[in-house]
Amino acid sequence: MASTKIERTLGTPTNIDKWTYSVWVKRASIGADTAIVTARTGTSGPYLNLIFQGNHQLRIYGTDSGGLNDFNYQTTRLFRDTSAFYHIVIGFDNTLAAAGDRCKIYVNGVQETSFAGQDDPASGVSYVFNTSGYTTVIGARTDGSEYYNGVMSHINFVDGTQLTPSSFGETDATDGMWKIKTSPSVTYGNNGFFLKMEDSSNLDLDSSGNSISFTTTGTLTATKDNPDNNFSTLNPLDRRVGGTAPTFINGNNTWTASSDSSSNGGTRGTLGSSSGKYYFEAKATTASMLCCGMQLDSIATRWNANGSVSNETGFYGIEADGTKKVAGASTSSVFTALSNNDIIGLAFDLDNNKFWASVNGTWVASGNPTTGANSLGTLASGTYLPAVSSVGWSTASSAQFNFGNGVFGTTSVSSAGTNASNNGIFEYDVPTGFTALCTKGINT
Amino acid sequence: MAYIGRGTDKISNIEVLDNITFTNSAGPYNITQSSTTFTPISPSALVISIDGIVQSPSSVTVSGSTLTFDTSMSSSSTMNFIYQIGIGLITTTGDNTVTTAKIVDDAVTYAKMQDIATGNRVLGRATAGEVQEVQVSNDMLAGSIANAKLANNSVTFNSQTVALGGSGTIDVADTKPTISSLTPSVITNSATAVVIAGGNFVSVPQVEAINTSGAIVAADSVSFTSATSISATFTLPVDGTYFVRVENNDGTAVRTSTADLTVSDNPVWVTASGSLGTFAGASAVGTINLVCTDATSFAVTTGSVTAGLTFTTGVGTATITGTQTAHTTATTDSFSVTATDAQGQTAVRAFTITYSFGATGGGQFN
Repeated sequence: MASTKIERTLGTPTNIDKWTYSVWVKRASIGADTAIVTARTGTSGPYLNLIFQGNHQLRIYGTDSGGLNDFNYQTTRLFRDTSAFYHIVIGFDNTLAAAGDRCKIYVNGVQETSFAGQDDPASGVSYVFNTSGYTTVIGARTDGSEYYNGVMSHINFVDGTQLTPSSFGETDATDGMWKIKTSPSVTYGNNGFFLKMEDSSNLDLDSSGNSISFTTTGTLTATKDNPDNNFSTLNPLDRRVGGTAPTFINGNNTWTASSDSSSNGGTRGTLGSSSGKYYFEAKATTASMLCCGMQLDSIATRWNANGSVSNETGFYGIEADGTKKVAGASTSSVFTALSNNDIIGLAFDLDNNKFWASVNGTWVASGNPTTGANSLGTLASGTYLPAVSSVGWSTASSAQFNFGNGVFGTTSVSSAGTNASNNGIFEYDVPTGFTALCTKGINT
Repeated sequence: MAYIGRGTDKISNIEVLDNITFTNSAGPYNITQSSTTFTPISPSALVISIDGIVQSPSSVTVSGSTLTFDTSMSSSSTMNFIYQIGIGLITTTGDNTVTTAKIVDDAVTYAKMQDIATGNRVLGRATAGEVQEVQVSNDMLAGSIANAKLANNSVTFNSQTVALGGSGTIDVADTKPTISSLTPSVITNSATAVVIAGGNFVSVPQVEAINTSGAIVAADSVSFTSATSISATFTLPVDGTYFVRVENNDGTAVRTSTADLTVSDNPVWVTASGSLGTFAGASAVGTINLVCTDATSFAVTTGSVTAGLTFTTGVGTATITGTQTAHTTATTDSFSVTATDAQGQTAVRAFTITYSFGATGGGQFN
C-alpha cells in the first residue's frame, strides 16, 4: 500500500484562472483510484482532483472556490499500461469563451476529446487549484487517501498560462514517438514549480527558479526509470491468474508469491527482446522456492498447470535450491542453495543464445558472460521476457528485482558495480557487453 | 699739488723710474718703471740721486734691466730719484703680439695684401667674427661654370628628364585613360557594378567587357565618379574571363592588359538554412553534411560549432562530426558557414544545432 506524497501550500498566484500541469507517470498498480495531484484546504471544501480511477479512466474534476459549479472530465480511454510512461498535460484557462477550451487534457501530446463524462468549467468563476492557501498534494488526496503507486518524473506546474504539450515534449523526428523536453522553456509564474525528481538526495527539489519548498512524506525512492529510458518491471498483467495473485509493490519490482496451493505466482517482465545481451538482478528476500530467469514469449502454454513457470519448456534460469533450469528442465545442482537476501545476477546473451547466473557477484559453474565461457545452457531462439515464480505450490517466495533502477525494494544498491553501458545501476559489475533491460539498452 | 699733464712716469723726454731700495749690497738691482721692467739705453742716460747726491754715471753699470753700483749700497741710504734721459731701449716686437687695436682702421693698404693667384681660395672664419659677403658679378666670372657644378643639372618635360647639355626626345603630352584595378574582379551573370580605378577618365567614358573569345559586351551603364574612378554595370550572361576597355570621348582608350574580370556563378547552397536537427546532447551527432554546389572550401564565419564537434571543410561538402561537450542542458547553438568557390565567390548560410538531454530518473511513489 503506497503512502507517499509531496505537498506544499500555494501563495498568491500569478493568475488563478490560468495554469498548466504536466507530468510523466508510469503506473504500478491499477484497479483503484490513485491520485496524480489534488488540491484542497484540509480535507473538505472546494477541491480539484486529477486521478486514475479504479476503472482505469483518467479523470479531472473539481469545484469553484465556493464549492459550486462542478466541472468534470472523465476519459473514455483507459490507462492500464504499467510498462510505459504516460505524459499527461492539463491546460486550464477559465477565461476562454469556448467552454470546451477551458480545461484541455492531453496524453502523450494528443488532446483527449472523448469523454465518458464531461462537464465544462463555468465562466465567470474561479476554480480552485492555483489558489492561494490551498495545498497542492502530489500522489495522494489531501486526506491521505488514494495514494499513487508508480513513478513520476518531470512535474511542471505553470502559473499564469494555459500551455500545450509541446512545451514539455516533442515528437521524435526519427521514430515518431512522443518524447520529453527536459528543459522546458516556460514562465513558471508565482506558484509554478518544476520537480525533475532526478536528484536522488533531494527528489522534491524545485528547479523552476522559484525554489519552492515541498514536504515529502512516505517513501519516495529515486529510480533510474524515466521517460527517456523506460526500464523493465514485473508485469502484474502478465501472470498466472489462478489462485491468489502475487503482490507487487515498489513499482512492481518487489514480488511476493503467497503460499496458495493453487498458484505459483508466476509473473513476467514488461520488456523483452530477441537480441542483445542483458543483465538484471533479484534479491531473494524469501529464497524458499524462488525461481528466476527468462522465458520465451512465444510459449503458448504459459501459465498452465505444470506447477511453475520454471517447468515451462521456454524457461531458462535458476532455482533457489541450486539447480539450473534449461528449457524448463531441472539439472543437478550447480551452486549452493540460496539464502534469504542473496542477490541473484542473470545474464542472457540473446545474440548467442546463452545464459549465466551469479550469486552475490560470483558466477556459478565458473561462468563468464564476458567471454561467453561456461554458460548454463543454450537458449532456443525467440523473444525472451524476465520471469519469476515459486517452484512449488503452497510455498511462499519473494524477491526484489533490480532491472537497473538501482533499488532493491526501497533500498538503493549498496555498492554500484561497473556498467559500461551506463544504463541503470546494479549491485554487481555488469558483464562487458551486457546492459539493462530498458528501452535504451534494447535499442543499443 | 696735483700734477697735470703727462703721467708721473714721464717728464718731457725723461722717463721717471721707480726708486730702488738698497739692501747693503752693490746690486744688481732691478730697474722698473711703474713696476714694469725697464731697460735703459746706457748708464750714462741715467740720472741717479742718492741721499741728495747725484751719482756719477761711472759709479754704476747697467746690464739689461739691472743696475750694479761700484760699492755696496747701505740700506740706510735713500734713492731720491732715478731718471732716464730719453726713452728706453726699443726692441723688436715679439711674434703674434701685434693686436688689432695696434692697427689703425682702414690702414692696411692693397699693397700690404698678398696677391691671390688663380685657383686660390679666399678663406674666411668659420667661427665667430664677421663674415664678409663676397659678391661676384658676371664680369668677374671668366669662362663658364661646368653643368655638373650646378645644383639643378637637368631639366624635366612631360615627366621626361634630360641632363643639361644632354639631348633627348620629348613626347607630346597625352591624356590616355589608365586602369589600375577592378572591384569586384569576379562577378556573376546578373547585373553587377564594377568600380574601375585608374586615371585620366573624362566624363563619361564608354566601357566594354571583351571576352577572351573576342565577344564584346558594352556596359549597361557607366557612372563617372572622378578622373580616377568610374563605375560600370555589366550584365554578362556567359561565364568566362574578360578584358575591360575604357574609351574617353576624345578617343583615347585603354584596355586591361589581362582578362581581369571573371564572370562566374556563386556557389549555391543545397543544405537548407536553419536547424540541422536535434541531437542527444551526450551522444555523437553522426555526420552532418553541409552541401554547397561549386564550393571548394567552407569555413565557419559567424559563431562556432559547439565545443567537441569537428568542422571539416571539403569540396562541395563540409561535415560536422563528434560529440558536443559544451552543454549539459537543452541548448540551441547558432553559427554561419561561408562556402567559397574557385573564383573566391562566397555564399553564407546560417544553421542551428539543437541538443536535447534526456531524463535521468524519477521518483518511485511507494
